[in-house]
Amino acid sequence: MRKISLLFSAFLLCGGLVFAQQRTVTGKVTDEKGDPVPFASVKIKGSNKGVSADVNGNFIIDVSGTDPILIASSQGFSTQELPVGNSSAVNFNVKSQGQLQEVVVTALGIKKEKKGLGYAVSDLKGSEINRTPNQNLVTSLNGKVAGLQVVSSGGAPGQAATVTIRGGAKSITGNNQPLFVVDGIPISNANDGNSATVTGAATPNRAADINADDIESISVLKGSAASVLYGNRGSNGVILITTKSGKARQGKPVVTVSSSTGFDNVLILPDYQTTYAQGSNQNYAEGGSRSFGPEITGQQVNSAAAGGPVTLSVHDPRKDFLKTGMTYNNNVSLSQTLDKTNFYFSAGNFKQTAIVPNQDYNRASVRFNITNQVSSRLSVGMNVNYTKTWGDVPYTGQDGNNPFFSLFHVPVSWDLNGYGYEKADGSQKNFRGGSFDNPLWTVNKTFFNTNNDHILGGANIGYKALSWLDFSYRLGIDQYTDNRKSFKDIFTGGNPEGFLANDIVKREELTSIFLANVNKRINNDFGFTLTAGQDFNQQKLNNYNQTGTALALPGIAHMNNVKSFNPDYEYVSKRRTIGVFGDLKFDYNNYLYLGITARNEWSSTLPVSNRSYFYPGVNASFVFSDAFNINKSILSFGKVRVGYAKTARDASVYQLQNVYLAATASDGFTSGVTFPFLGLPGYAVNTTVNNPALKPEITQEIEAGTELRFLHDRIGIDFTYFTNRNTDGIISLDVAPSTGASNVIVNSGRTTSQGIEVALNVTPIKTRDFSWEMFATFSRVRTKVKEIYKDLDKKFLGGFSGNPAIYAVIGQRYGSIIAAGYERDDAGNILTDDDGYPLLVDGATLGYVEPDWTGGLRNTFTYKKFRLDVLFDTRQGGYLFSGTSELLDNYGVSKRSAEGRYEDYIFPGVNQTTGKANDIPVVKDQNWWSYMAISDEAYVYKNNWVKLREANLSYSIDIKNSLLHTVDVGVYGRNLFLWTKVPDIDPESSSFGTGNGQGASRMAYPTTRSIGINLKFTF
Amino acid sequence: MKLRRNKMKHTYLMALGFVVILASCKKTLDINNDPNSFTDVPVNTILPAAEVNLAYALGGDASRISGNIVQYYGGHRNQPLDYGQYNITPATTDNFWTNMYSVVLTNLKSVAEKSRVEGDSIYVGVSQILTAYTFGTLTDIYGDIPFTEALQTTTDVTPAYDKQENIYPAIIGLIEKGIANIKSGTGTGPADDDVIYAGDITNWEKFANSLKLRYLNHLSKRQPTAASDFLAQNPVLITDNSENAGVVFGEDAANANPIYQFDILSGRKDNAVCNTLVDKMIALTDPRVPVYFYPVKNDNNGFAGQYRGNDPGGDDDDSGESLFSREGDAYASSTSPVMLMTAAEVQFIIAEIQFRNSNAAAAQTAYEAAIANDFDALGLSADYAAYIANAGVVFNNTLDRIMEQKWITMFQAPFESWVDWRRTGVPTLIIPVVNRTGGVVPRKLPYPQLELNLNAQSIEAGPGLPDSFNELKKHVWWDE
Repeated sequence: MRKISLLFSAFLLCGGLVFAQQRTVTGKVTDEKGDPVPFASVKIKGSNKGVSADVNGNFIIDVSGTDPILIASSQGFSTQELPVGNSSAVNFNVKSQGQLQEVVVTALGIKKEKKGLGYAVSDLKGSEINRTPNQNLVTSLNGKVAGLQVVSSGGAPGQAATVTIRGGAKSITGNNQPLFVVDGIPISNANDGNSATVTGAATPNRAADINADDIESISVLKGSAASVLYGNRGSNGVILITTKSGKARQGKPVVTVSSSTGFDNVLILPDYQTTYAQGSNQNYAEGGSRSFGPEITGQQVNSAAAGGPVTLSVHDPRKDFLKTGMTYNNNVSLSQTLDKTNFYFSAGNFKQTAIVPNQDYNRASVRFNITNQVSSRLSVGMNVNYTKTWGDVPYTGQDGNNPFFSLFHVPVSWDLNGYGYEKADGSQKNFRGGSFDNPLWTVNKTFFNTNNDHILGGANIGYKALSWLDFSYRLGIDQYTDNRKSFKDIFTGGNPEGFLANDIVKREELTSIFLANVNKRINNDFGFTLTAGQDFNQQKLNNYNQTGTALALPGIAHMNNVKSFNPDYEYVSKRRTIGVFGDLKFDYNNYLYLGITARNEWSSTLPVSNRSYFYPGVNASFVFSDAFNINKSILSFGKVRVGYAKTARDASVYQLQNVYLAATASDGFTSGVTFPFLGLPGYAVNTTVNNPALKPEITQEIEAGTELRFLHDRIGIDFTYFTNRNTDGIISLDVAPSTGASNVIVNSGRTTSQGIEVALNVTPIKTRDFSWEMFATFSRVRTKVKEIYKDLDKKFLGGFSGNPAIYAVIGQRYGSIIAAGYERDDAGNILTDDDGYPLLVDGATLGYVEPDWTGGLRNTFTYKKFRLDVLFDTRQGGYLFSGTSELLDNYGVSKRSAEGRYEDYIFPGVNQTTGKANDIPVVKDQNWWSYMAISDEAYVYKNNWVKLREANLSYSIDIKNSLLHTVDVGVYGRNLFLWTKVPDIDPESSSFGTGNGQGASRMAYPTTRSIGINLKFTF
Repeated sequence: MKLRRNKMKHTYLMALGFVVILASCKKTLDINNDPNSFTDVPVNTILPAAEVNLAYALGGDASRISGNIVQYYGGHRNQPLDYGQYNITPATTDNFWTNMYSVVLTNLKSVAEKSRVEGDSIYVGVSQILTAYTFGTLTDIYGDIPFTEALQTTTDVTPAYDKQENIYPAIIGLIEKGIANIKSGTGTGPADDDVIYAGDITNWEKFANSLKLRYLNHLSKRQPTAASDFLAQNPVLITDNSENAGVVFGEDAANANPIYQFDILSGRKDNAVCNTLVDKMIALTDPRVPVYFYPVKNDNNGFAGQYRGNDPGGDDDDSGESLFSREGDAYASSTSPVMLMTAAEVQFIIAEIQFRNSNAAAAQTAYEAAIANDFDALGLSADYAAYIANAGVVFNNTLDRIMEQKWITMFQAPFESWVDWRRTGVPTLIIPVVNRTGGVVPRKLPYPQLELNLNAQSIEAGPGLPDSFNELKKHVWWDE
């Protein structure tokens, strides 16, 4: 008994002693430059206890005993031991050596160690995006991130681009683009006017309003696991942009002034014939669209355009019309790190004139970011960005004023500049009639202006309540108003009485995020972090449109000049989501990690019974190189990771109730009737039948990967395999019109997707003066459409309603070209009729749109202060329908259509009645080419190409006097060369905007090659 | 220790706080009622939508395609040229079929359903008569079509195709029910919202009877006495131009006539008129020429001011508007009407019936009344006397003469003229040099691409999938 009590009291005493002497020590771990070492490890020597410093290198640790010694260590730094002594603060100063521990920005803008992440994240530095000036930062992502694909709608300045990650096929008809987040706040990437349509104007996507020079880094969170904490819109991936915070050299303000000037020229123009003049049946005639006139031999013909007889000669209308575009990009920035404050200020102006006359796109932006450490516990920050963009952008697609539609088929016998575009009476002089105007008329008598004011702002506050607990709150808004004006003067082909429309698009997004972060070490081996929070998001859209359909006087683009109006149009929508979420991560000895995530979300767009949906995720990663102490000179880093996540997507607004819409009557060729009709109001049953029991779409994804680095990080490889299954897709199902409806909203689509992403980093040569680094990316994705609805096997995604259109077809990869194909026999031979023409069959599946694989290769050479950067990227596999080639052949302007013209030609096929090889010749005249114009299969090409995407040569001069620090001067090129077998066009252009239906190009605005110089002064 | 405990309290309080806020936020999610549309509207706003859509579809695609087949129009480029060369594929009529089913018939059904609930039989009757007109036009063009299983949206997404043989009696029955309803006196019926008759019930009855007469006359090959038996019952018919059924369009571009919208407003200039009709009318010194057609506009080829038609299926590009005439003021100006049924047509039907009954005198009276009514409607009454005396016009007791004059008058409704040609073979049409059917004039249009994509099983189980251009040569049931 006594022994026990003695033992007990001794124990208590010991405990008491320990208790009595326990105290808290704070401190900071910095490197030899004074920069913080994030997540450094601080341990008590001789014990098992230790903590992890936070992202700023600050730590708090409880010590006890007589003479505790603390050891600070971090990957890539030397280790330092310091005695605590009697102080309550210990500051470490370690020396950097070798590869630094990577810190990436992950979901919610939280910086985490990359090594602890159980899912795939790619990161890019801001310099990789802005080294080559480019108007749209989205297209700058091309070729730099494995698995990320960018498709541009065309090469016009300001024109929108679509980005998809991992195939972009999770939703059959919903949005498949990733979420853009700037400084922790989601922003809108809408472009309001260019998706899935065959007409419209080249409006920009709003993420392009961000000035690339303001970007510090971009993290691309690719899979569902990485974005489960953003819910909903993050299920397609998240592109996290972090802008510059102002962290600079201690004390002095850093001022940079940069300027670049570039020249843009068209990259690819079609091949034209230079033999045949305008006309029909070998007779010269103006007014038609075709060049099946006589051979140009210097003969005299009567020309209404010339006003008399004229000698036929060969012109180059493309060269006559197009010009060199200019790009000017000027930026000024000021950043400073004061004692407790960092701030960053920038102002920039980007001005780009087009290769088409009278068109341009401009951006002026101002940004101010500031963070302030108010006390040791409280920090605040604010980011404000105002951007104004304005431009005169082209009409696109089948609009009569798409400048390239008519420019591409101006006959070579037509003297574009010589004949002019306006007759004496003010009416249009055009080589053809109909709704496609003389391109000079288009750029002088029509315009589409966009004028956008955009404010992006956020405020955040952080409070460190305890050593292991901190809170943060962030509030952000994204608000813009785009005033668009569309004008077509009297005598415009498609609007002979003129046209004027004012269109105002206002979007407003508000996000509020509240977080609590717990960071605790349970014991020496185990620790955990927990982020829990609540968020609220609201999106509003207001659209007002006023359209005049007849003008009184020519040339005046003002509503007072309108004689007859369409009824005004108004559309408003509002949606909200609320979420609660948690991200829990355990780590064992900093090499084995287990993460659990969970989110519950409520959305206003779903019915009350299905409004709440929950989705969890789990991931694990194992840094086996640390666990097994492998020789670092061979394998410097090795990690495997695996994860599973479930995410959901809600519906679009107002899909739950059946409604009546303001009535219209139309026939696909005309604008039709808009009610009120002769003063009578009219409403019609919505041809889309809504669904009051709608459920969210669900995605389940598994991914596994490994990161390996060899030979002291000279070789690095990052490999990911993923597979996802997407169910309950919300589809606006097309139904046969005899049902009385056109579409029915159902939960029914099912798609799967799987693939691999590989990033390889090799530094073959690294000496003191010269280094050569290679970075290669590769991605292979296979999507499959598993189910649409009951027996239906096709779902329209975009394009014309007849041929060609892009459909999701069961059993095929996501996105199939459906158009007129050749009728074939069982052996695959094409059947011909008794006239020698091939037979066609409607609605044939002509190819899948998805690439087989995409990749990029970047080589960076540095020699002393010179740097050469060259980026290639490629896409292989999948098909593209080129409506451009089809039309150029039909019009008789292409080189192809002149080869063997009027000669006999036997189409290689088999006669449908005799079964024997076709021996009936056809004459390759205009009837033949008219028939080819509906033989879509002849114009479906394998969409393979390689591009020299970017090249940069720069030289950095260190001046380091009291005023000037460095001068960087460089030469850059973008979109320099294209190697492809697709004729006439750059296959990267898409005619169906930024929607889900890609894979067809028809008179799209060609891409441009840019070459320029840039100059940057750092003070 | 104490400090720590306070901080813990702080933390718990904050956590509690945000849970409370969360709970009250649920109400903020009830914002999904569409502010841009209405969940319910009165019947008098749905009827005009249906009527205008019917007229627009008939005056648009229905007229353009059939008009090129019966050689009123001679399209020289793009789609109209395709129609003239019989290059008609399933995709050609996607829009027309969609408008007829998912707009016209769906909204007429909505009018009937809502009116039954409100107890207004007159509205129900009007809806039934127009529904019969719509289905009748569709079956005349396509043959077998979805009828009994149609218009059920989510309940039946793959409606079966009914045989025309069964559809015709059902349509006649629907007209009779419609007449009974409008005469029932139950309810107030439409007023100004009825753009056809402004709610005049006597006119509706006359229109319905005239429509029934038209459809029974379609059965001239199958049931030769059906129309005659009905006529013998002395139904009240449209006898005067003031009773004509049609929709008049407006001045504003947003309310304009469909032919005007296609020919002028869209800037297309693809359609022209055909010399089969133009030359015939010039040969007869027909005073309707200047109102039916516009003279050639530009003088590049020396034809300005003349009335010239294109060869059927001819592809000489006339976007310069210097070769051929276009459709004129009578039916192609902004405010021109689309006619659903006129006194002239009724008289021609009667003339044909009397002719088949060997009543030459009654046939002549009706024939002359028909032409007189058409002239009157076009404001050309003064020229009637000279015209009717013309040797090529005067009644000669032949079906050829009656149907040829009817062909000229039915320029107002080409889809109906195509039915007449299929029944009687009048007039003799010139086969276009370039055509896809081996020289056979189309007698039916193929089912639309949307139905083939989305309802193929029903077509396969019924009339059978279309066989490329051979589909155009098939005869519909009443055409055998």
